[in-house]
Amino acid sequence: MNLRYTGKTIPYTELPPADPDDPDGADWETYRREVGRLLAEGHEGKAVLIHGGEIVALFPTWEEAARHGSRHFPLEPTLAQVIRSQEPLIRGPIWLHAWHAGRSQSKPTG
Amino acid sequence: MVDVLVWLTRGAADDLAAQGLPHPAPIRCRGVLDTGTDISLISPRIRTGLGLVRVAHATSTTASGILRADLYRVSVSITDFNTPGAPLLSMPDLLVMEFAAALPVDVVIGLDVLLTVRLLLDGWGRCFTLDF
Repeated sequence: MNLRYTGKTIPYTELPPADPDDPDGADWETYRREVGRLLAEGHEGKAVLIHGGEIVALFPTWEEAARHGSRHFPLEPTLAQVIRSQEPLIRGPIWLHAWHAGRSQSKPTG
Repeated sequence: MVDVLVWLTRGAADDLAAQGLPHPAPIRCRGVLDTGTDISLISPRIRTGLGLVRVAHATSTTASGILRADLYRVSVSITDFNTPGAPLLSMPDLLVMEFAAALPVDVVIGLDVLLTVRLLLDGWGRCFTLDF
């Protein structure tokens, strides 16, 4: 992943919910619902692949999860997510929040 | 402002070919450099034009709090369409966010790309150079 992080994180319990209008939000809601269990089972640092609101499989790395998703579900949205107790934050453009106004949000810690 | 060529990643193109599906042509568009964002962004026109589907989520911090954003994989090349043989700054597999704001460009190039090159700004000359 080419992502750069700010150094700030939020706990997994404070991940923002999917937008109610997002037709593909089920995958994210599945992750939010299952991440606590996955952490408790010792899967922190692994990657989970979710498709159609269901967990497909766990993988050692994010790249393997994403690759499996694109191979087996071409043209369909998938969610490859690293399982973390603390979710790192990305700094988006300052103007980005303007068009997200009204969506549910939470506050960072750390 | 820069000229940008956006296309599928090689892996995505290969996956489509393996399924016997056609793949879209690369999209030529304009982009802007933004040192205020850690991640590059594409417009909805690029997402729909290339038929991109979400592969991951990012949790992004903004001035007003935290938001969740879909991530897409693309290949991005920066060049100068008016100069034949101009060099290409290519990022063959980049995770990007989508923006829905009304901007006169289709791509916002963030620090994920800019920190791989030397960006020289000549304020007096009103120009910049990407050294790579």
